[in-house]
Amino acid sequence: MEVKRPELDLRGLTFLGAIGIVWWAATGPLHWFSDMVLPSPLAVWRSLVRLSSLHGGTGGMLLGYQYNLWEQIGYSVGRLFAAFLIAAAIAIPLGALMGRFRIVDDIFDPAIQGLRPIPPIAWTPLAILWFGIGLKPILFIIVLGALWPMLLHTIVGMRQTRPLLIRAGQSLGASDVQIFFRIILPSALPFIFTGMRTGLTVGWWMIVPAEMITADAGLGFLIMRARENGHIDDVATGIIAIALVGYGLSVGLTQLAKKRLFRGA
Amino acid sequence: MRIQSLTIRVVSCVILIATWWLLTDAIPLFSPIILPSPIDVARSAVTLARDGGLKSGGLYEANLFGHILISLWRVSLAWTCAVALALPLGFALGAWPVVSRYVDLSVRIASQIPPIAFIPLAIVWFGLGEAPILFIIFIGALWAMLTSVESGVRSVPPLLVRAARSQGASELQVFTRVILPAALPYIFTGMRVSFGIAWVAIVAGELVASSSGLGYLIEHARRILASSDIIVGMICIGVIGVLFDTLFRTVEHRICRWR
Repeated sequence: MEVKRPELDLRGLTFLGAIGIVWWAATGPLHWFSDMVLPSPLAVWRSLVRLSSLHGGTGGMLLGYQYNLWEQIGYSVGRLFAAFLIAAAIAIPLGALMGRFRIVDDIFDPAIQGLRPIPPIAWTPLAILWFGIGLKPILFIIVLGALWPMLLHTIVGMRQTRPLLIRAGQSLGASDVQIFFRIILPSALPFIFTGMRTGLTVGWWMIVPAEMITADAGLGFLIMRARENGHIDDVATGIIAIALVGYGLSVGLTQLAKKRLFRGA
Repeated sequence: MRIQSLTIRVVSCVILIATWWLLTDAIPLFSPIILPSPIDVARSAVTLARDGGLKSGGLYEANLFGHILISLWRVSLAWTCAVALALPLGFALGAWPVVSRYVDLSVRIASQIPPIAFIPLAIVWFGLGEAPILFIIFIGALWAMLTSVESGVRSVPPLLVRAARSQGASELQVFTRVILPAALPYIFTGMRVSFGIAWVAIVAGELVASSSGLGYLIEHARRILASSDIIVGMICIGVIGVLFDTLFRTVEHRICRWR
């Protein structure tokens, strides 16, 4: 695979700039929308500056409204990575076993097929009853969201190793452990990676609703609290932050994989 | 081999449900609020389907089918709008790569926003009620549909288009006879995937900002600690999701049989 450096997408940035100008014109000079309906880019910029300088903490439903944007991004991303690692720690070994051993597949597959169609967000009410409010239900929901894509891709990846390669390894005297780590695992890596990328995207899609419903911190919590307090400019800032962080995560993971994972492929 | 594998699967299911029953009913290790027994869930399903939950004092305002129908109606309305908008836009982006080179980055950034994140804005824009929920379903379905249509049009081999033109086909004929059929499988995939996303978005939307529908049902059940009702709602959400997925796959298979 060709390793491509990320290029500056000038055309894309031009279009983004054009959207920005239309947005500014519609809210500022033309007065199509008031700041209470669609905050102007300047209002968002001011809100960004203010949210960056606040010293807030977690929780504090009654302590007014003081949340630092970067802290909240940190909470969301930190939780996402924690949940992502937990999901990977379950999905990859289980997927490896299910992919290689028929009997493990037969045992776990019915339960997985039964649970997988339930969208992770639909677990929220149950998660709140089980874990209360805060970190634990969120981790639970995101782990569920990231788990299925990783698990299914790992299973497929484990099954598509060419038998010829395995036989070649065996005939050269490789032990089963060696065959697994030198042949099967490397050939499954691209699949596992696709699953991880999907898992991260789904996780990011899940963390915001989860935080809106059950959290005491994070970006979803921030926009929900901002709305309750009538700070529509902070809502807009939060949504833009969600978009940019999500985009950054997906680009970052793709680049990382291209550089490190597939160098030998 | 096959029979053996089937046996293991059946036994695995039986053991799972038996364990669930044992831990909740036989040896009540979990309280019914944390994990209701399978029998409770079945009883709840019957009550909910009949008259909307006597246990809650009729607080759900509709029975199970009422909530299902409301959710389905919302999803089909907003999803149809998203598809109707994404089809022409996707064709335009696919047909003029110049345009898509400008738009792609914005679409990719915007599609990172979970639809539910628009709820606070949508409530300000449209007020409480149906509109914000319809809006987030629409947004959720839009991106998946748009990218599918676009890549469908891109996937048409230029050779075929040139061949049709050289045989004297008009632009309209090129579109209806070459581009549309070639892009059809992608369009169907887009419809299926975007419907799946819309179905998740509506549950999230109803959890946060609604007083009807399946998402509301499970959230309200949580408030009155009716865990068995939550599980009934979750099962309905899962089953309906699978049903639609299967439906789309079947139609896709029928129509794109030549593939």
